Amino acid sequence: MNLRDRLTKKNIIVGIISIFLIAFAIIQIYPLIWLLMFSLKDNAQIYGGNVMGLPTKFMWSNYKNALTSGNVWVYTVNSALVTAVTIVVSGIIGVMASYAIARMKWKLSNITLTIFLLGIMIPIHSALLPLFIILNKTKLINTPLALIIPYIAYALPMCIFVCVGFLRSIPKEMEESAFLDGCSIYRAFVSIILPLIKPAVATVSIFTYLQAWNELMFATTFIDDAKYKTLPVGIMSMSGQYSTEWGPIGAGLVIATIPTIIIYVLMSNQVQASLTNGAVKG
Amino acid sequence: MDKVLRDKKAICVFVLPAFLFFFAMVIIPIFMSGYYSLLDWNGMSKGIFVGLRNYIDLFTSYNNEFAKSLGNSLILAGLSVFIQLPISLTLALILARGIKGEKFYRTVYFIPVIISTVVIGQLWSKVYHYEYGIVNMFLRNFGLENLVRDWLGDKGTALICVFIVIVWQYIGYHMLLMYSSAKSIPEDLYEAAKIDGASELTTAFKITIPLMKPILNVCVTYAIVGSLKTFDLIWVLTGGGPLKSTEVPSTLMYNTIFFKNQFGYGSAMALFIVIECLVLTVVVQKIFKSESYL
Amino acid sequence: MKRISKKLLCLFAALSLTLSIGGCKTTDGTDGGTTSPDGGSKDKPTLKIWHITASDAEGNRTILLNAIKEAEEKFNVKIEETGTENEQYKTKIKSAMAGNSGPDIFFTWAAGFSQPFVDGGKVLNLDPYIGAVKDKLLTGITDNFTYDGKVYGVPYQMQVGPLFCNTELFEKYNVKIPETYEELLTAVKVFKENGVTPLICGAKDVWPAMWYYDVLALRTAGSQLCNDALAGKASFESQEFIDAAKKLVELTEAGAFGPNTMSVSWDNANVDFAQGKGAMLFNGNWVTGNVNAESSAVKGKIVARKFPLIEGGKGTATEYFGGAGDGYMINSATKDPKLAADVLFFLCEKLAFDMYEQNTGLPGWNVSVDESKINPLTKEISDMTKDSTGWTLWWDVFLEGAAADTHKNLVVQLMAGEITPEKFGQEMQKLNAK
Repeated sequence: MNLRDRLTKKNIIVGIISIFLIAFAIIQIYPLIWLLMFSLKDNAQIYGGNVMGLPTKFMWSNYKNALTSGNVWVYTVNSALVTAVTIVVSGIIGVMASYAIARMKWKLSNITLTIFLLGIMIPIHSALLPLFIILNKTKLINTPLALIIPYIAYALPMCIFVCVGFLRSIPKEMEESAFLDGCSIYRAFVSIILPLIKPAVATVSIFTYLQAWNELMFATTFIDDAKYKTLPVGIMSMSGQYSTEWGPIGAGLVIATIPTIIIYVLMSNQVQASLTNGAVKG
Repeated sequence: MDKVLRDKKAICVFVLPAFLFFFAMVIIPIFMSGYYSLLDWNGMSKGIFVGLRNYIDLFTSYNNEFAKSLGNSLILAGLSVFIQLPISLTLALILARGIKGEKFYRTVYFIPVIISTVVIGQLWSKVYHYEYGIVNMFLRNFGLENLVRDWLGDKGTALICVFIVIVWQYIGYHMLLMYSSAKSIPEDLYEAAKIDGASELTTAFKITIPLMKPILNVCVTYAIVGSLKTFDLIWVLTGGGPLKSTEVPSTLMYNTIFFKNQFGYGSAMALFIVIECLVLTVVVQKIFKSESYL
Repeated sequence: MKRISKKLLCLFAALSLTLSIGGCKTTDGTDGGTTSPDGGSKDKPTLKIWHITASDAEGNRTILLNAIKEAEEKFNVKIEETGTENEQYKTKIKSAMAGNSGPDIFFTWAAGFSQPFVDGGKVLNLDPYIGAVKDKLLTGITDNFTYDGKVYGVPYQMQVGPLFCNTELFEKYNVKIPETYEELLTAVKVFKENGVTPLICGAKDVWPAMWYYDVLALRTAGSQLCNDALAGKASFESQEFIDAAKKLVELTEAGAFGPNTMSVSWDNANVDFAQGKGAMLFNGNWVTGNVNAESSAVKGKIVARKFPLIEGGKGTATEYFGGAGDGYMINSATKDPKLAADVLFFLCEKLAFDMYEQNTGLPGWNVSVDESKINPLTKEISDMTKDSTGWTLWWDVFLEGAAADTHKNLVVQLMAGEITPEKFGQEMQKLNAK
């Protein structure tokens, strides 16, 4: 086989893969486009004959409704606050726990990991009443902490699970030499482990973000006060008692999705950047 | 040096903050649910202690609906592991090898995960719609009239139709995890393989995939656990219907607790789901561990 | 390592302690200390009220907020309101009441839904306070909120299920608006032949399908027998209930509900009707809102009629499906029950008046409004029910949680041909046997 043949064969394969990737990309991007169109329709178009296509009549009023309804801006700020605190705190304490579980030597490390894994196994709806009772007893109910604390707790398992896997794949020699130089464990953690684990944390943060930003059930049940309500609750309360206008809800969801996409792009660039910086060679 | 790594005070400092959050918000609720599951309780009146009756009822009463829902969730787990994950892995490997437009694809493939479940549900209920859904439109155009049906309203097809959506929505989720792991594999390993004359496919199977094992472990565990407690999309798309054909343990549990007011019986379901997930997770861990000694 | 195990042991001991304390308190229902916080202004008492009128798009929200504002001035109280979306609200109120931290006044559904609140001693008996407003309430309107002869809640509106008919379609295909079951069947056949869905339903959400069975049963058995059977005093296996089931099967087999009703949600069905896609819809008077909405294609073309009579059935034309199915109750842990009750009565009367005047509901109180302002369709429904001799409430509200769920699912199973009408009767009767 000469070089030219090889090249064309490779080109064909790349071509096929590209077609496949593009086709899949269209399928994946369609929901977003559909959401945009959805947000500009009224119920008649949403449920009528025009469900997939462009709106025949652009209902810009949906956005007006969504933006003026209730306290959308307050809700957005609350959501941002709750989500940010959740990501930062769960990230920090999650990485700390992962480090002890993955790299330090103690008998209960595996059991501890398994216990943390319990968190992903709880069907969240069953925790609703127990959590309500706990938060009520501790007088946390109806404060932002009533959301932040459970969100952190339920974000930890994924963070720990991913970070432990990641840390275990890093060779031990990384800190060993530092310890021999008399470096303390805390110092080693901060100056050696933290830089290494950045891509894993960035990845996990995306998932923590999604979970906290979109959570509806806890947010509805644990918060009464309009000044602490979050965005998903605000959007859902646009649906009516006997019938629902879906257009403004669509508009609300577009507004809620924009920050998500921005965060995702930023975070995944962070993943990329930390990787290409060569931090994880080894 | 071992001494540094065995420092109990340091272990406590590292683990305790996470553990406290976790203990208060996850462990205590599990124990509370465990206690409720031994009661005949409507949530308001005084509960009556019934021992393990609720657990026995799970498999003997109510037309065996719990066992059926359990079966449904296991089917989903199977689909997730054997269809969804391979697709995610393939995409992750292709993208990680640096194809043109890598960043674009990476972003776009993740979109269904970002979009609210309510919207995804609305969209797919349109896709499957009897009158104007694309599935039926396609069938009608190609003269396959006899295959036209009310996909989500037919108890023979509803389950698989809902599962397709769930499997599809989370392809991007696993892809991202796998992608960032594949990306962290050092380039020199690929170089070495190339010099040895290994094809891309061999490289993937011999080098990349084995090195991705920690993340594959995470993905498999998440896919299984996620399937066993799947809720949102089913709730939006079919609500467990028609005729309970798409009921999974979580939807059944939610109904039982909050609509039928059977807190005790519902909590027994919840505990069962936790234990079932735990057992399967341990099995998955064992499989991944034993393989590393091969 | 030992030390760590010991610490863990301590933690678990602490856990079991918290658990036992938590367990006791949650089930004995005496710990109501957290209700009505002292916060807010110093001299004004504060009342918390929870409701489901959350959407700004609904006219009812303004009505409610105005009523609350007036009540604040009249009684010199501060009222904190929280509106929650309907489905989420059910979860929220149940968790809050179970956790003993419900609001002072809360929206709830009558009969079965609130039964656990009453059984658990979570709600206030209103008998000592209701005397003053008794005359203002429509006769019998509090029946569905009466448990063991005691009144626990107050409704503000009446709700009723008329058969909504799209006159345009009836004229187009030259069909007579059905007054008997036979005529209904004929209408179904004609519409179906012409590709129009005869009866809009929305069985994905299950309850809209239940409405059709329940009204058929109202026609075959009459309201008295229906109410007796629901209360466990008569059998669902009696012929009347089986006949109603047979009629439902007959309608389904005639294609009355269209080819895809099992996957159509209520929201979707509602829009279909307002877009003129179906000839008839049997559902609550709230449908008028959508029919009269700006986006509606059938505005002014819809009439409300009594559900057709069934020959040989015990039900008469003056018996209706509906009643006062929702209203407000007061938390038994509220600090000043008299004040809460007075505020409650004031709010409910005000809501009844305003909602009627603004065409969003039928009043449950004796109110006099300028009738000329009332929308024709609302007026039609209101006048129609003036001759009422009997009512049966929606069965899923009348029955308690689990039984309501079973009932709705049995109706769907019946429609899908999974069970026979006889089996349906037997399974329903099992609810009474429990």
